[in-house]
Amino acid sequence: MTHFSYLDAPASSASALAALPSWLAAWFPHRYGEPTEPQRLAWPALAGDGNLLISAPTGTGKTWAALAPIIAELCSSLEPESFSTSPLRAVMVSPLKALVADTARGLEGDLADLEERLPEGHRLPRIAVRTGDSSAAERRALITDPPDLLLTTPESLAILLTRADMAGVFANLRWLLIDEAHAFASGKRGADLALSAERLSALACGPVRRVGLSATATPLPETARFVAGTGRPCSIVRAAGAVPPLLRLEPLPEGEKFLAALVQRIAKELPRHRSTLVFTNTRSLAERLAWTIRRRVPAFDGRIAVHHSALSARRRRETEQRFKRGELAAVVTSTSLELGIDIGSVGLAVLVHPPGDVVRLLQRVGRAGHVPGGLRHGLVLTASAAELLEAAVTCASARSDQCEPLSLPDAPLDVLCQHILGACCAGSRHPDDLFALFRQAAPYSALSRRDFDACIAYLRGLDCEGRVWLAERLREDGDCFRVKDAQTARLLRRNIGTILTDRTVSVALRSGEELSPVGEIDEAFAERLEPGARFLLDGRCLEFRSMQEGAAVVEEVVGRPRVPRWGGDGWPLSPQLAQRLYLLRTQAAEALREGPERLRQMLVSDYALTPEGAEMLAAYFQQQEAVSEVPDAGALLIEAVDAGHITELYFHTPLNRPGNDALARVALRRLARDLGRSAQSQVADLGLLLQVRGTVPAPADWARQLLAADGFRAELDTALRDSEAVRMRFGRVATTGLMVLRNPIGQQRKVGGSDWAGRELYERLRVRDPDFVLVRQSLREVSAELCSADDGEAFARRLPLLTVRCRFLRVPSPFAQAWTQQDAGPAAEAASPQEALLRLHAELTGGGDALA
Amino acid sequence: MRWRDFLLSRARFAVHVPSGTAVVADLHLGYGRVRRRGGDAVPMPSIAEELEALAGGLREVGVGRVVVAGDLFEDGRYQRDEMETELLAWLAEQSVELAVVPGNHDRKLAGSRLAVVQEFAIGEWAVVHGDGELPAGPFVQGHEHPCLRVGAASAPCFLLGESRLVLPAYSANAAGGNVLGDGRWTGMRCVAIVEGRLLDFGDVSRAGQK
Repeated sequence: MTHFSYLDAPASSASALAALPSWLAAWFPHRYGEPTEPQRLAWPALAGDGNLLISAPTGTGKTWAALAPIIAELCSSLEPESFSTSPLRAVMVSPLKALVADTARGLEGDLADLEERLPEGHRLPRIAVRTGDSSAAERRALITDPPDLLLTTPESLAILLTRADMAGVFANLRWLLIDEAHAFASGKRGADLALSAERLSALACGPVRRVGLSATATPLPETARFVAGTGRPCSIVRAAGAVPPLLRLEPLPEGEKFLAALVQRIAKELPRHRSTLVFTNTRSLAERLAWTIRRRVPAFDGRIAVHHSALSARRRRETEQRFKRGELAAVVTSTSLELGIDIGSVGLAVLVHPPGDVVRLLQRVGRAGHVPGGLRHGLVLTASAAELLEAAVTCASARSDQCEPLSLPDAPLDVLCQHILGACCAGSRHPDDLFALFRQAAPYSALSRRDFDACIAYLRGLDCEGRVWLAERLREDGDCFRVKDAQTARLLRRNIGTILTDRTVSVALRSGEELSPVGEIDEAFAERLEPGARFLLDGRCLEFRSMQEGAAVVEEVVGRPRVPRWGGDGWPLSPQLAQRLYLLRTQAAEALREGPERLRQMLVSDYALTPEGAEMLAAYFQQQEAVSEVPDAGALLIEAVDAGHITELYFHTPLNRPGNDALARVALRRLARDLGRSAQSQVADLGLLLQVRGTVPAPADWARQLLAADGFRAELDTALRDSEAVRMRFGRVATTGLMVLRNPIGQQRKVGGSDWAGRELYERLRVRDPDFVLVRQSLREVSAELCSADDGEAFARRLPLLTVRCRFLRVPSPFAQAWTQQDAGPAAEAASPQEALLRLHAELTGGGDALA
Repeated sequence: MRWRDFLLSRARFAVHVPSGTAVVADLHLGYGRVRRRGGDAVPMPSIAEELEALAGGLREVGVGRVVVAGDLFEDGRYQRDEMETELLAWLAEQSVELAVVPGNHDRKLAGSRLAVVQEFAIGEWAVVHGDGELPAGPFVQGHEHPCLRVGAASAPCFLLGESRLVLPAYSANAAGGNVLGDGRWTGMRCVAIVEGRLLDFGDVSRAGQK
C-alpha cells in the first residue's frame, strides 16, 4: 500500500530559502527573484527524507523547485566512501531529447553564474547529457569519467542499464528525478521508465530518493505512485493558485469556407501579440494553414513556420530558436509543441478544432504566458455546430479543472520482455528476483507470475508445450538466466524503447548542388509520387524530382500542392468528455422546451459562449428537435434511414469512439451469425452507424438483441482476434517485444513488406499457440484503447434499464450528420475483410447481392 | 479455372495442360531463416512445411513436373546447402521433377544440386522471372507478386494478357503489389484467389474504377 501526503501550505519566501544553504539562498533571488509557489513548497519538503511529487502548472519554476536542494548537495558532496568512486549522485529523466538539451543549457548557464558565489571547499557539479544524439566519445566518458548529474531520456537510460560496467557508475546514486511525469505515466514509455527506475535503484548502495515533476494531473496519487513505485510513501506538493486560463470560443463557417475564414481570423490576431502559437490537431492541416497564411497575408510570409514531428530535428530546433528570439510571429503545430520545450513567451495559443480532452487543452493554452504568474490566453476556433458544442464542454471542464483521470498502463508485456532481457544482459538473474523487482514498478504491481513466466518462455524460444520454435534470446545459467550472447545484447541495444514510428521516407531539398534535409513523408505517399508531383512540407510547396539513395529529392516551387499523408493523426474524445457532452445535450434539450431564449442564456452563462455561438447552437438543437429528438440519459435513440437497398441505423450513445467500436464489433458479429445479415459499420464519438442490407422492420428489438450484455465480452474477444486492429497492433507489439526488430542486422529484404508481422506472422502464431504472450498483449491493448471493451460492456449492461426509441427519418438528423462526417475515425471492419473483395466481385460480374 | 493452355490453381500456380507442367513463382523459401539471421525471433518452418500448399495443389491436378519462374529462395546465398538437401528430399518423397529459372533473389545458384536453367520454354511459352528484359513472344513470369487490394483485404492474383501470364507469388510471406491503380496492368484480366476460390474480376482497369 502506497502512502501519500499532501503538503499544501507553501512556506514564506524567507523560510523556503532557509531550507537551502546560505550561499545558494543568496544567489537564487539574485538570479530568479522571489521563489515561486512550487519552490516554496518543495524546498522544505526536500530538506527532509522520502520521495516527492511536485505538481504545478507549466512555467512556474518546477525545475529549480526540484533541483535546488540537489545542486546544493552536489556542490558540497565529499568523495564517496563506498566500493565505487563514481561521483554520479543524480539522474534526471525527461521525455524529449530537445528537453534534455534545453535543461542542460539552462543549468550550465545557472552554474556558471553560481560559480563565484560558491564558498570554499565547494565545487561546481559536472553535468553530462546522454541521449540518442550523444557521440561515441561522450558515451565512453560516462563510464570512464562519470558526471555528478546525468540528464537523459528513458531509452538512453534503459541502454545504460544493459551494461555490466554501469553498475559501479550508479552505485552512489541518491536522486532520481522524473521530469514531466504526467506525460510518461499513462503510456508504455512510462512502463519502460518505471522498470528502469527499479533496476536503477537496485544498483545503488543506499536508498534513492525519487522526485517527480508534473503539470496538473488527476488523480495526483496515481502520478505519485508512478514516480515512487509500489508500496513506497511519497509526499505531494501541489501549487494551487494557477489563474484559470482566459479561453475564448469562436465558431467559424462550416465546409469549404472554413480554411479561408480561419486564415482571416488568425491574420487578425497576429499583429496583436508578440507571438502566436497555433495548434491544428493534424500535421496536414498545420501544413495547409501555414502555407495559406503565407500566401494570403504576405506581410507574415517570412515570419511564420510549421512545427511537427515529421519535420527534421534540425529544422524543428531552428524554428524553436527563431520563435524564442522573436523572429517568428507565429508557429503552426499539430501537437509537437505541447510539451515543455522552452520557446519563450507566447502571447496567444490558438486551437483550431477542439483538442478532444481537457488535459490537452490546458497543456496547449499553458504554452501561452509561459512565465511564472503569466496570464494564459487561449482562442478555440471551431468548424461546425457539433464542434462548437464539444469545445464548449471542453472549455467549461478546463475552467472548473475537471481533467481526465490519469491511469497507468496495465503491465505491458512487450516492454517487460525488453527489461527481462536488459537485466540479463548485465549479469545472470534469478527469475524470482526479477519478478519481485519488477512488481515494485507501479504499472506492474498486478503483474501475474503466469504472464511473467510466459515472457521468459518466449525469450527462451519455447512454445506453450516447452518445445523450442523461436530464436533463443535467454539461456539458462543454473537456476538463473542470462542473455544468450553478446550479439543478442547488441540487438537489444539497437532496438530498445517503445517509440515506434511509421515507415517514412526522408525529403531532401535541392538548392544548387546542395541537398539539405527538410523532413519526412509516409512511405505509402512517397511510393505514389511521380517526378513533377507537388506537395506541401515545412509550409513550402515542393516539387518531387527523383529518389536518391532512399530519399525523395525535391525543389521548392511556386504552385498548387497536395498535402502528404502521415499516420497517427487524430484521436477520439475522452470518455469523460463524451459523457459530459451527452449530458449537456440533454440539458440543452430541456432548456429548449422553455424556449430558445432560455437555451441561449444557459449557453452564454454556463458555457461562456458568445451570443453568436449560442445562437448557432440553439439553431442546431432546434433543427435536431424538428426532424428527430435530442437523445436523453434514460434512452437509446436509434434513427433509421432507408437508403435504397440498405437501411442505415444510427445509434446515439454516450460513449466515445472506442466504446462505440466495441458495440459495433459485437453487433456486426451477431447480425451475421444470428440474423444472417451482412452489414458494415462506422463508429464515432457519441454514436455508431450500422449499414444493413435490406429492410429492418423493428430496429428497437434488434438493438436489444445485438447489444445484449450476455456473452458480450467473449464475442468481442473472438471478433477482435480476427480483426485488422489486433493484427496491426500485433505488428507494433512484436516490434517492442523484440520479435520483429526495427533495426535488424544487415540489409533486411523487404519481400514481406512492412505489414508482414500483422499479416503472416500473426496467423502462424495463432495456429501454434493461440495464447502466445505477444498476441495476448495486442488483444489487451486493443480492448483497452482502440476498442473499449469495458465501456461497451457497461453500456450493454445498462441497456435493459433504458428505453429504446426508434425514429424513421428520410435523411440523417443533424446530430447523426455531425459524427458521420468526421473523418478522424476509421470505420470498424466488416465481419471478414475478404468480404470487400467478394462484394467487388459481385458488383463486377453482376452477381447481385451475393452477401445478403 | 482454364485460360488458354493453362489451368490456374488456387494453390497459386498454373499448369501448362498440353505438357503437364506446373509453373510456380516466387516461393522465397527460407524467408524465416533470413529474418532470423537479421535478429528476428520468428518461427523457421521446414521446407516441407513451406511447400505443403504446393504439394496439395499438385496432387489435386495430378502433375509431377514443376518449373520455378524465379525466386525459389529468399536468399540463394544463405543456408542454401541445408535447404537444398531438404528440398531434394521433398522432391523425392513427392515424386516431383523440378527445374529452376533463377530470379533476382537466387541469382547465385552456381554449384546447385538442383536443375538450374537460364532459359526454359513450355510449348510456345517462355518461362522467365520477369526482372530483366521481357521476351517478345508469349511468356509466363513471376517477380511482380500481383495482388488485388480493397481496403484491408488483399488477395494474390493471376494477371492474364494477350501473350503474357503473370503468376501470383507462391509465398504467403511476400507482400503483394496492388494491381488496382497500377497503369502497367491496364487491359489485363485479373483472377484472384479469395477465401480459397478463384474469382475472375475481369479487366484490371474496370475493377479499379469501381
